[in-house]
Amino acid sequence: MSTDIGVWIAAFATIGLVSFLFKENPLYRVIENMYVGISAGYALTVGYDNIKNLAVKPMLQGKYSLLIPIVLGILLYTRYVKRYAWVAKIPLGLLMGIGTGLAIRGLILSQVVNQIKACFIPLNSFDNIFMVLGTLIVLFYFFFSIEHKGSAGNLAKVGRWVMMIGFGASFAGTATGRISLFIGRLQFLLGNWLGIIK
Amino acid sequence: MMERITKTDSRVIYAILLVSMIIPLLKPLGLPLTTPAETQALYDLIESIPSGTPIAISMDCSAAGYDELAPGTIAVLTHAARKGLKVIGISVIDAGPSLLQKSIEASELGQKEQGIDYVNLGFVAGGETAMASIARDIKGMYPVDFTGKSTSNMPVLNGVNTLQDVELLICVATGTPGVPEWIRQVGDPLKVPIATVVIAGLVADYAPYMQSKQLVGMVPGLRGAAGYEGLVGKLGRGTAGIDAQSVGHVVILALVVVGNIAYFATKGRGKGKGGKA
Repeated sequence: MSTDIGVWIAAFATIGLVSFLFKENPLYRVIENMYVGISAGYALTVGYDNIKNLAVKPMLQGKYSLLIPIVLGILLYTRYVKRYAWVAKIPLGLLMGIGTGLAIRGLILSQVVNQIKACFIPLNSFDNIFMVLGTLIVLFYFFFSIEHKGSAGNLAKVGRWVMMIGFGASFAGTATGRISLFIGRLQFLLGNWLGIIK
Repeated sequence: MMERITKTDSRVIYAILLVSMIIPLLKPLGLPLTTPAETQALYDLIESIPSGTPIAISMDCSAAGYDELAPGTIAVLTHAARKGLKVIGISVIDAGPSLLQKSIEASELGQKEQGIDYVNLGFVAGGETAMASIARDIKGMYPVDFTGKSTSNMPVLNGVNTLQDVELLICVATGTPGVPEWIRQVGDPLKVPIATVVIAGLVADYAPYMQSKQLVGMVPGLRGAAGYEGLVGKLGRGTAGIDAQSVGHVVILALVVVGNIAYFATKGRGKGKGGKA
């Protein structure tokens, strides 16, 4: 059995959180609140470090252009003063504009052009045929200029089935992931804490 | 009987799952295991990289998902250490640097010298915007590493100014920001090969990137981790957990089948009473 206080705290936190499956209880609530508090405190510390290392220190060393993002960052807090709350819209607009611009620029190449290119494959195997037909049929499901009736309706229905297969794979992956997480905790409890397994 | 099954307390199911997974952990069954092709692809790629070449690992992993990704990350880091690659750790998730440090210490990379063979640079806020900035100026975005040491003359970063200077970027991902964002900002525009150690829940989402070769390799969840541990020849918690996972899956499948049989057998009887799912 471990003699490390950290391992004991982690073990009690794990048991406390898992105990929710049996019934909501005070230990679960204590651990849950601790988790939220510690996460917030950790994020605050890391954020403080980021501002210190990436903005304040270099600025004090003569990189005065960093004053612009620092001032813009401070302006975000004007939302807490009713009279000047509108000022916060300036840095917020910049944040949204830059973020969206960056994402869209990359998205068109990576998730549209290159994904379409990946569909240009020889139809010489079941996998390839299923992939190309599946993509076309699912795209047809979202084509609303033709009423989904008769054969168009049947094709759209097949598109829905293909999507269902995709959702099923995602769900199975999620279930697998949850099991893996639980196994990880069991390995921690039985190994690191109790020392029953290696 | 069927009626009773449909009314089973969910805690009974949790107990069945718990027992079924504890047994193989205590007494491994040694069920056969195959290495996924995408995991083999990452292993082969790392194997082909010459010693002394820098690679980057972005720990974009939350604490909640770490248990699933730890075995795969440790196996990949061990492989990189044995190959003598320079490992540059970055993160755009605040919990990332601590989890990466934990993984480094648990792998053979932890026996190498910090600042010379590897560095954990830490976290930069900003998500996808931060990725774009890191890609263009690593030392500018990381004037100091996770431990507060200056990066300006750090040997491990010699000749590494942008992410174009690394041979491979491995994203350890539990969600957003993660693989699609790295592909958008680094993989496609800068032509940097990207691989991922990813939770099983995201495998279906990321499979199209393997098909399009925007991802060059993948270690999916515990199964991928077990496969990678086998390839590296250092069996760890991935391999130990795979028996428990397989048994867990069989139990879940059995419960789904039994539950559905019981549901359809009693379906008619519930009519008019609002039914029971």
